Amino acid sequence: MSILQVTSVGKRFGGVVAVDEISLQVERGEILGLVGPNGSGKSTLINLLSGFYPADKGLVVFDGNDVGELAAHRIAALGIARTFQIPRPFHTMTPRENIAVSYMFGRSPHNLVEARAAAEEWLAFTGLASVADVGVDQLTLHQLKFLELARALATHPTLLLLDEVLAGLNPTEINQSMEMIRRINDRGITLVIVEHVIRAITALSSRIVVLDQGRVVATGEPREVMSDPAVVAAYLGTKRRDAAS
Amino acid sequence: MELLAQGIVSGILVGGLYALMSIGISLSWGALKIINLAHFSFILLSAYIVYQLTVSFEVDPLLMVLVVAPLFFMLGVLVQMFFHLAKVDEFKSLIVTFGLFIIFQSVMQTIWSADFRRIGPVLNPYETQSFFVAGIAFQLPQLVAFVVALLIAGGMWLTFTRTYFGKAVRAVAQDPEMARAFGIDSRRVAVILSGLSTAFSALAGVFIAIGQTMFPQLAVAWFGIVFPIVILGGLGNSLGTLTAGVIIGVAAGVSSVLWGPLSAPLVTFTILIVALLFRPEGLITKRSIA
Amino acid sequence: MSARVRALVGFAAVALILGFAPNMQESLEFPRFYLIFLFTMFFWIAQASSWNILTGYSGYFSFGQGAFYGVGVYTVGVLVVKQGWSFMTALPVAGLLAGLTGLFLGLVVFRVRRLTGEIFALTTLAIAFVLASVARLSPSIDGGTGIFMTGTPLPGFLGEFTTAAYRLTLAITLITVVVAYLIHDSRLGWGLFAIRDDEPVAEGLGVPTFRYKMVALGANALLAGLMGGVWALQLGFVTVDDVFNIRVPLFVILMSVLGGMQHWMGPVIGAVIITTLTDRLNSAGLTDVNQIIIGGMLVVLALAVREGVYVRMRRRWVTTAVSFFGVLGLARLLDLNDSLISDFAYAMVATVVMMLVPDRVWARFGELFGRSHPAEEPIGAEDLTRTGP
Repeated sequence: MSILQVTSVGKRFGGVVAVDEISLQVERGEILGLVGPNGSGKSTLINLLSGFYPADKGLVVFDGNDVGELAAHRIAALGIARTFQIPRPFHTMTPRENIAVSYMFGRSPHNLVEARAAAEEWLAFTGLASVADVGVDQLTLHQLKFLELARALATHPTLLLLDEVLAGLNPTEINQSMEMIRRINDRGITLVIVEHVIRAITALSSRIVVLDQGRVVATGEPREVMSDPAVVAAYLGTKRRDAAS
Repeated sequence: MELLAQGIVSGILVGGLYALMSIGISLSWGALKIINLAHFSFILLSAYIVYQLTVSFEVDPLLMVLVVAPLFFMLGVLVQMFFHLAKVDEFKSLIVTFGLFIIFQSVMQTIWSADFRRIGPVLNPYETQSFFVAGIAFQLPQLVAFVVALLIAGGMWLTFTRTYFGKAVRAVAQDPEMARAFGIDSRRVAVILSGLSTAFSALAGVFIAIGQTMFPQLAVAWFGIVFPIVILGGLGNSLGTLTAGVIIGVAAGVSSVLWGPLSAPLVTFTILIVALLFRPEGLITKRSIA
Repeated sequence: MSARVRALVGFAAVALILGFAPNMQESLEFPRFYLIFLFTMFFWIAQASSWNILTGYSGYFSFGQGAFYGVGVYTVGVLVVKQGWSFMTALPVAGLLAGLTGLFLGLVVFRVRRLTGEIFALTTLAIAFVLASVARLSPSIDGGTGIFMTGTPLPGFLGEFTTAAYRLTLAITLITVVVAYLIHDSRLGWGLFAIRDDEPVAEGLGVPTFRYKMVALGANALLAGLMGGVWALQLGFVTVDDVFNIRVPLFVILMSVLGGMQHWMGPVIGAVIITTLTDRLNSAGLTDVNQIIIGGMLVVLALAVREGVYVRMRRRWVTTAVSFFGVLGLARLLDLNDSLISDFAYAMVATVVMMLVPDRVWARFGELFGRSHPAEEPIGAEDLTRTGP
């Protein structure tokens, strides 16, 4: 049974169509890769699924609940968490406090004392223990991305949406992050990852969905999909040239 | 019925003055990301200066435009340079300019005391002048203020849409860093714009001096009129501000006729709340800075 | 004993000492003026602390404090004087009505997600103005004539009138500070901090942002209204111009900005310092200059000490203790002033000036004298002192 069922959702901003019509499903326990050229609607889709803004049309069913109309904090309580492409830590809080506050809310309420203890676990898991109590402005990009992960994990999600966790990292950091993503998946958390680093996404994902201009153009096994002519066209832009001629 | 028509006409005309008081604040907020509460003091200070010069030297108060406009342009330039040096952002600007507002208020209270001040009828021939069309009075000072507001709003609109400076302002408002990358001296643009918006407030002060009785607390009372107009009109949108000024002016004028002058703030505030609920991006247009 | 229990015991002890201060007046032979001074200080502590629950914790900047305070004052004025209610039944209604005013405002402004904090700020600025015109218009509230508040009967067990009013003020102040303290270390408080730092992210992590903002605004308005209701007792003559003016919002903003808006202690410290200073300036006959100094302080503080003096006082506690008690002792020894309050004022000014020195300059200064203060300068978690005392 799939954990997330997306049926013909769409979103436009003024005259710009960000997501035209997307249907897909995410199976429980898998790592689903979401790829596509810039502006294909990947980030908008993540924002719709996590409730950052409501979809104009379509249906999103998570774990048997219709989450399309819910406020973001209710969606979080049901078990969807996300990270941001550009890290957005709470800047007056230390990494430990960032994780603690997320644990206090998330899926179930906890008090401050429990949260401080729980933060320890995720600090260790993401390797941030050494910088747990410095200001977040002293963290490197790599550490900030891991803090995003730790904060999302502290909400105890069953589905985690990762928006370009690897962007801007060097090869060593990418390898560490990939290892981390596998370990998260080993804990039984379903993942949807948006990524530009093709090497990483083919290695990690069990399935890949390719988006172009707000629509799904291909779905399937990583290797199959990446050799699909429609996907190659989407990336190289021949499709658009065809449309123009 | 005639009373109501008079209320509407006076409302439209006084709306011009309201718009004139609001344009500077709107431009500063929309384009410079500075919510400048000190503008209220600028308006009143300009009015007091006009009053003082007129009374001391017995000159025509309208001529004082030539004095206060350049004077306040310089003041606006200085204020913006200070904001730039102190790295004032949108949020800090509220606290900092609130402090400036308090300082200006106290200074004015110290100089001109809490008494009511008014330019006498001998020196101020405009105040009582009015002409009638179909039995409806058009008061001259209000009419002139309306025309000036129209000229400024139209002029700013043309500037923003047609000139290089206007395009530069819009670029700076959207992304100062990017504007700088394209060779726009964003600091200079900001300084000029601040000077202009302060000068506009000073012009509003001239008409306050001509048409009204002045006292220090007057500036506080303007908050309730000007902010609804600024928000309704859309931040940085001069034509929108003028339209919003007229809407608020008419609403206040009509409600004064129907329920007495004290009801006006209630009506304007209700309009603001309704507007916030249904069109928070501004009543007139979605595009800011125009 | 947990930190929270210890703190609450501390609050109770302060309550007892201050509550019985009027009884000790004769035996300790301090002037009655000191009680009135404390009375004013309590009022501002409560106003600044309640304001900070919304603005400091959630980051939504409010100019509406005067409106909530005014609703409290006028509710008590109307119910007690015009309707003949007893004060103790009118007071809760004052709090309630002020709270409802806040919630109404929140419903309008927080419902629309696109509205920015700046528009919230300006709406709160306008609301006091509107309430003022409602009060002026309506003869059953004020009608432009004002309300005489003399001789309101208070419950006998609180002592004679002035003492009873003092104790009521103290009680509301303590309730306000305790509420601010409890929220600071609770889920609600941390949810609000998250909202202040990044509201969409907080919402995405499960913080019910709308509800929390409403609770914070409601608590702010209710506590401000309660304090307004008690303050009506000593106003004598209530007028629209005196009640709904810019004074209350101005002072609470100044106090909280001075003390620091992130911690519940910030507004308390700020209120103590500002009331002491304004009291001294007024008694020196500098009432006119007062406002100019206040405005100037607001500008300087907002630009120079973003985190407020309280955080720095904790970090440089040795310096704080030395400068405060040093100057206080010196002033006492040299018998500089005839009033103890003046000595305190000097000590506070000295301490605040020391705190105004930026951290970097301070570190340099320490090196110059061949000694840094490792105990005083832990760079890191406690920098932000979000964790309570």
